[in-house]
Amino acid sequence: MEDFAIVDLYWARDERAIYESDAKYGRMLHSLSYSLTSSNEDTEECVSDTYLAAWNNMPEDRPNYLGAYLSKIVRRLSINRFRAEHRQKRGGGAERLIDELTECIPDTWDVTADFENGRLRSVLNSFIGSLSEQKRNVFVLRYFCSKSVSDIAYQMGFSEGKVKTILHRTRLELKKLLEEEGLPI
Amino acid sequence: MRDAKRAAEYLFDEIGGIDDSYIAAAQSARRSGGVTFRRAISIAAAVAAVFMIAVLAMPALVTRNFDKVQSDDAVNAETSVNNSESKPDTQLNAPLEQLLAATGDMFSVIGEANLFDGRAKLIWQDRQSGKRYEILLTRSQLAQIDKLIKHGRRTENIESEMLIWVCYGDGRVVSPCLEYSEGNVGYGSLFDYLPEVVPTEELINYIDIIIGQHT
Repeated sequence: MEDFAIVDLYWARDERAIYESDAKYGRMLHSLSYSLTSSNEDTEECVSDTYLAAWNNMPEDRPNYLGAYLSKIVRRLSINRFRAEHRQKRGGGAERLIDELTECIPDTWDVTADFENGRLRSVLNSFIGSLSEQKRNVFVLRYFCSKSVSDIAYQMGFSEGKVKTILHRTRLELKKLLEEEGLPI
Repeated sequence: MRDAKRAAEYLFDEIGGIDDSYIAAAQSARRSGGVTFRRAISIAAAVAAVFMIAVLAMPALVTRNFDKVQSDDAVNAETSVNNSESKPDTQLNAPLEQLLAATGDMFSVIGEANLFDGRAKLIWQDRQSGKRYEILLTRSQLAQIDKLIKHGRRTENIESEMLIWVCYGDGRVVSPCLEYSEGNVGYGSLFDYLPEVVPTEELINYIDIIIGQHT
């Protein structure tokens, strides 16, 4: 079923919307959530909560890309679940991705300020939009979809080495951009 | 604040707010046709395996072709000499016929050959005199001759003074002077023929060894 048709079901308060969403995006959402929580139980709850959140948010929201919309919700929920349950622990999918992203942080950047005023998101969107299609897809698959390097390589038809190189160079480019933005200390 | 880890967490969170179109594009991105890296590796491995097989088989092919070239040269030289003298082509001086002719009456003249007695034989007959001779072959000798007989070099319009046959003992009859094929396998009789191939040096040498074992 097309995305617009499923969204129409949400708007019509037709419970088939949940069924159709799960049929089309359930596997992707489970995969994304599990990569962050590393727990089947947590994954099931996060995916269920995602459909509930979508149901509650629509109608008001009418997303053009339902898969991306649901992915954002499950990602948010999964990160929160991971932090709540692994606050004292190390390791796990999200932890590894966050460690990689430390390469992007300029030494003199007070990120908190820019996070609170929304500027960070704006800079990120500009940065991702400026990337080549190949780099953008790889970056988003890694840091939004939380896919492993090998899964990205398989999906894109690249070697794992190429994926790692793309990610490393993109992180450095992001760091350079954040430095050039001249963000306050 | 210079806590890189905490800053990275914020960054990671904010990546969750990027434009939906970027997310949708990445999720639906697939290799754009052509061959995946992994498939390319598989193909390369298959090609390498075929190449290695070809390399290992090359010596056998080279040997065969070398024999063929050498035989070609010998026949061409013979042919050119004969042509220059306006005489019909002949295998009178062909090595195998020479070899067998040289045995003279070393071996007994036979009458009708028994082709069904279960005993493999090499039989040859002088066309002019009609005298026929035979040598019994062991099973291994037959197997070796059977292997060597398949590599004769094709030739044309060659007359011969001798007919040569290999008999398997079960009625089957072939000639080292004919191309090894189903159509050239006789059954139950020693047949006349016009030579099609020149036997290889390996076969001639092997038959020479057999002859030596019987004398």
